[in-house]
Amino acid sequence: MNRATERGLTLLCWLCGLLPLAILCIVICYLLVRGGSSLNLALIFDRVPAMDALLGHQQVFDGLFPALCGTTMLVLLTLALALIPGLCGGIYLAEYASPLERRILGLLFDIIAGLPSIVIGLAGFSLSILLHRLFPGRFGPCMLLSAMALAFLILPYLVRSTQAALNSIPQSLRITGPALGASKLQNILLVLLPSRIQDIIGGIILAIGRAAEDTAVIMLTGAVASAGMFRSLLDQYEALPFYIYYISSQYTDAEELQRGFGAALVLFTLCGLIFLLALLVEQGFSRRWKR
Amino acid sequence: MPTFPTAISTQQLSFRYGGVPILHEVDLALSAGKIIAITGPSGIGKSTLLSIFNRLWEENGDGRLQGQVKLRLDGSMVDIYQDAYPLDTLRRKVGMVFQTPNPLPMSIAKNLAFPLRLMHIKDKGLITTKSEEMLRKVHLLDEVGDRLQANATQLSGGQQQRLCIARSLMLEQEILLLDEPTSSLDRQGCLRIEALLHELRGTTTILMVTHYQDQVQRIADLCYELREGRLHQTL
Repeated sequence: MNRATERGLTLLCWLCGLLPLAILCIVICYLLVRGGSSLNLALIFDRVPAMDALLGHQQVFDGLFPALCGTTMLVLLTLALALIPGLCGGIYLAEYASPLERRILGLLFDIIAGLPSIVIGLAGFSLSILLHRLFPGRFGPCMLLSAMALAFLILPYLVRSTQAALNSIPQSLRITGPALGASKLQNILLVLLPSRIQDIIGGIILAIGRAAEDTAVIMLTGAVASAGMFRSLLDQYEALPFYIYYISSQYTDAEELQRGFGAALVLFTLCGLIFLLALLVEQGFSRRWKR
Repeated sequence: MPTFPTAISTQQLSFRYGGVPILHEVDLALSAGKIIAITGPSGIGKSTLLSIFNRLWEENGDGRLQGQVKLRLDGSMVDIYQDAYPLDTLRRKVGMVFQTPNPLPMSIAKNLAFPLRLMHIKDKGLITTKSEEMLRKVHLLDEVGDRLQANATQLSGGQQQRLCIARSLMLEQEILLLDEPTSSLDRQGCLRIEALLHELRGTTTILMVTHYQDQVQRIADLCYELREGRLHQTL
């Protein structure tokens, strides 16, 4: 390969790396231009004093607060349902499964990952109808059902990212623990997982993003445009992605559309905060392990 | 001259790895407390031979072993493949140091404490005393004693290898398997490790793969060459 081709390829790779960053900047700038002026406490809390809303003394009906809480709770509940099975599934595939099991289960998880979210939403909707028939008046579309459907949606991401992280461990590190007398489980818990915590957290961040932005699943399993603050996991709820979708398709005036852009910025910030939290957890964990 | 009991013995030991024959009906009896060198061309299976004695080859699977392998552990000969001897206990008593230093990506102190942590030993005083003793033994205490919280991967290659030996010695093994432990070191580092092996002679049985004939002459009590699936004594 001559020097000019090498330089050309380097430039191409550099530009390809820069492209997503440029698109992200454009999207953020566009959102700020269109929705930045609507970003104020009234967008979140309407006319209710913020402290009263946060302490639950007054209900917020016309602000984003119920949707913000709904999305936060939904993401946390989804993670609570999917995280342990996802990590354990990835560990099983990487460390315990036979080659045949690895092939079959891997294919299965790839198929689930490829399912359109609307199909998973429909399955959740069908489950809600079934539960409604079995327990009339007690079950229907609700936050728990949405979280279950979303957990199913993100499970393959968690499994595959954990598996890939463990598979990338060099053999020299992999056998260090066993050579010192570590059992298989000790090796996984004390050496393999901590050494790849960065990659595993990366997979979790991607899964969080997927759960936070999905609209198709939640609109069929429990999210509604106006429900106020949810009181239990069996209640219908408001969520930011659904609010954004609803406003963008049903808005009646420019001000309402501007609020939609504002909601997009709020969702963006919420995801950023959750990612930041995940990164802090990862850094704290790495620091503790390495020192 | 003291006589040493047998520490390692094999009977009709055959081993195939990934379908490739490595050993063919090998009978061996090695005395305790000696340094035994294994030589032979690259890729002939010397490292695999070492991993038979702590069953580490099983981590990669795809091997097939026939025959008997007995090691002297806790004063009596144990058939490590037949007597249902616990695998983790076996590997704590038969240490292994690899060709490339493999410190865990954590602090020097944590690396040394790791084998004890696996045995659920949490006595900080004991761990500190033992760590210092082993660092002194591998002539590393003066070099890293004041920065035990530094990451072990920041040490030089020679220091890392000595740390790995010290980590292995934390368990006071009866048998030590060394897979070309000096191949990635400069002459100074190499001589330091050889001096350490001299000190361990008599208390620990050392089985060492090496490519260097001068090293064999300097430190080995016995030397076997692995050739065509058999071990031929050359020293």
